[in-house]
Amino acid sequence: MAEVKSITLNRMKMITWRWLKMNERTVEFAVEGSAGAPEVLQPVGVDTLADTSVVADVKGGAGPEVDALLENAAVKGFSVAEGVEVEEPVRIQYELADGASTFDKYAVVVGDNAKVTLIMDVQSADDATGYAAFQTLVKVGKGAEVNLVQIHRCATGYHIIDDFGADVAETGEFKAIQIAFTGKENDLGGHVELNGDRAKCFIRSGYLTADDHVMDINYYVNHFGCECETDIYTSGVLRDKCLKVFRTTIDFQPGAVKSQGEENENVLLMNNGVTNKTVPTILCGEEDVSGEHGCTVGRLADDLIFYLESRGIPNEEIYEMMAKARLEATIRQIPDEKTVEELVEFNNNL
Amino acid sequence: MAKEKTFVEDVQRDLYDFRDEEIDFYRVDTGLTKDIVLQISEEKNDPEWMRDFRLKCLDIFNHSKMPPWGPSIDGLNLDNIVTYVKPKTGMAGKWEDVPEDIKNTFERLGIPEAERKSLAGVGAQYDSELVYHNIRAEVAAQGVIYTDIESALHGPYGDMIKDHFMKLVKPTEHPFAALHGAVWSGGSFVYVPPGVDVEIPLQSYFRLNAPGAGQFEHTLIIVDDRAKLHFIEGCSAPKYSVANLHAGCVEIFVGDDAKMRYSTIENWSKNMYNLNTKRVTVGKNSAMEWVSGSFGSHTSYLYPMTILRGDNSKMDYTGITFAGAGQELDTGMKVNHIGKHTTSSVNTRSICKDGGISNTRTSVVIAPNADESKSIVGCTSLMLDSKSRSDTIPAIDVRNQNSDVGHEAKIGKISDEAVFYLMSRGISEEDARAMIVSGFAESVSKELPLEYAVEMNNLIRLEMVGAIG
Repeated sequence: MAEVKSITLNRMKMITWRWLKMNERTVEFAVEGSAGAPEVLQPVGVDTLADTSVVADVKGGAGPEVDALLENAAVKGFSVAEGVEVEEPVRIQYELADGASTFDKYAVVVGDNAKVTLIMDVQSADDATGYAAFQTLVKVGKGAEVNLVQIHRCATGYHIIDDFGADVAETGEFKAIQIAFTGKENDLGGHVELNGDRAKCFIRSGYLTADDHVMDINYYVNHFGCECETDIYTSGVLRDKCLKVFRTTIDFQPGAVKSQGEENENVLLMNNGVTNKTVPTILCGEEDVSGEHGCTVGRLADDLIFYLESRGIPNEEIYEMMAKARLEATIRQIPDEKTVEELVEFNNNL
Repeated sequence: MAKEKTFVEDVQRDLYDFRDEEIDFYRVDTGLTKDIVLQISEEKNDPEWMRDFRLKCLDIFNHSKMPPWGPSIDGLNLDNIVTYVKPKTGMAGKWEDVPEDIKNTFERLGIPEAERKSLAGVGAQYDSELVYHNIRAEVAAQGVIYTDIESALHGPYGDMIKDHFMKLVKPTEHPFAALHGAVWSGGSFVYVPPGVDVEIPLQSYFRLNAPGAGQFEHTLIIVDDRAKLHFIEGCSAPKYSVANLHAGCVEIFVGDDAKMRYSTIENWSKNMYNLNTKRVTVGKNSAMEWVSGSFGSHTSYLYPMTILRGDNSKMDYTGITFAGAGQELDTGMKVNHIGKHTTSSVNTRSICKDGGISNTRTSVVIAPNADESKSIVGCTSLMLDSKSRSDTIPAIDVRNQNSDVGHEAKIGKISDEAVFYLMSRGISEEDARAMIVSGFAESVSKELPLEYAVEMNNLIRLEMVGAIG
């Protein structure tokens, strides 16, 4: 088994009372890892990025200790030239082995008015245990569109850190979808800088967390340009004795005139005994912006339960059905039909 | 007619920014040492347990670390703070017996008039000591106790004080709770017997006149089963170029089937570090209401906390914060749902301008056994210019499946759509903007007794002298 050490990650930009134990997370993680051997399908239109140091100034969301952990990790780079719209996604498929410790980084540079989708699907052998840390750093050119999809389907003995960072130029769009079906511990981080006017960021995440597993998320979106938009939505299901911490920060810098930021969360608790923590923060240094957040935590609405029970569906089945429906709603945001079909089936068979 | 710009006035402080000369006042040395704590304890003729408690708190403070979150308090140097300043008078039960200059201070602040018109009792604190305390005879006849806490400590309520003093706000919780425990002075004790409805509010008013001083009053309120009370707290200080410190503590114990309302208009001067701690525990079927207006201080840390211990207990919090130039006000609330069927409703508003910083910091915790609990939190922030900052940091911790928690927050400026809507109804633009800002604060002012609503509205005075230029 890999040698482990303590690292602190997912620290919020504006921390709060320490007794809440939400400001950051400290985990025991492998001190080193080797490059993974994913199956990569790189479609026509996506080139290999030779100089991956061009993304060195892009920050991830998990924090400096994760940056240090991955400092020497193998980096695979992709680039899309100006104006090229790539229809087929880049597919990166992991099958992690039992006892493995995998550290991989990805550098992605997308030229002006280009478009690309990257889909990372991380699976493992059944009953496998291990560590895997990924970091994907993206530069989105003017008017470009990047979709980053990250799916975690590892065995319940796996601890995953998955971090992304994006710098988005004027009128560029960055969309991230993170879905965690399983895994002993999932630490997800994201940091997006909307540098140019009318840059956009959409983040969707979905999770099913059970047993004594942990889901820890930290998203930070920084608005510099005018008329930037952020839309973050996370929806998940918690059961048994799991722990989930969800931190988001929408930060409006002075000058981000007429920018909008919205963050919403919807969490379904399947039983008592889960621990659900949420800190949706808005930091505002600009008068002429709109920042909103909303959060709904708890059970299903009584009228919905009544309606379904009156149709003969028992209460427990209703909850299972709605749990799957929540995740399916996030799955269907993925801009790739093949992936959606596969994941819907996977979700239904869980 | 020449057009002038519409603007929102800064908080009006002229009424409060006057100073009295210190004549024959007793002061301890600046700083915080064991000798100073013992001096204060001796001055107060503390019972042995209280003296030991003070020293224990000092030790806790000396081993505490300042919190890593929140506004900077680097400008506060405790070595320069005088923790005890005693005016040259004892406590009086009639205003005529209060020294002329101090009485005039409170006259200017409107306290005796308010007492005559609309209060069941008043406690007036000047620097570190209460100078006036009175309760209406008919209220006292109901068995209500409203006295300075030190008299209570040495009198028949000594055991009650000992059983409750800093049991809710423990000195280990944060450094300024420990500091308070070491050097506290002044404050009120209120006890409302079972079944008694105190129909008219009681008020304590705190005036800090001395430059470079701290005020550390302790308010202890016990509302017994089936009782009702409205308590109002007010405060002010003249502005100095040196830092002043307010680290008071309010502990409230609400029994079963009871109701408590605690209203505050905080208007400390802009050199004040306001690091106040307030906490309530609420019994079965009882209700707690907080109404809070924060307009003063250089730096504030202010988060009243409610523990909904009893089944069916509930809490309502309505608060407004106004941060102007040179101010960083970190305010909010905390609520812990422990009992079943508990509810909490929070409505916070903040306005910031001229570089003011307003942070709204909240927490809602639903314990595993708090079945069928509900909480709704709404935070709305209005920024009047881009020099200012407004941050919202809400935290939610839910451990019960059968509860419903909702949170929403909005930050922005005066809505152009709302202005347009009103203008389309024939209202001028400046009137529309004034209406919107006034309406923004109205949800708090309407919860206050009229005199205090007027005071609050005076603190946020809107000048409408013409169209937007």
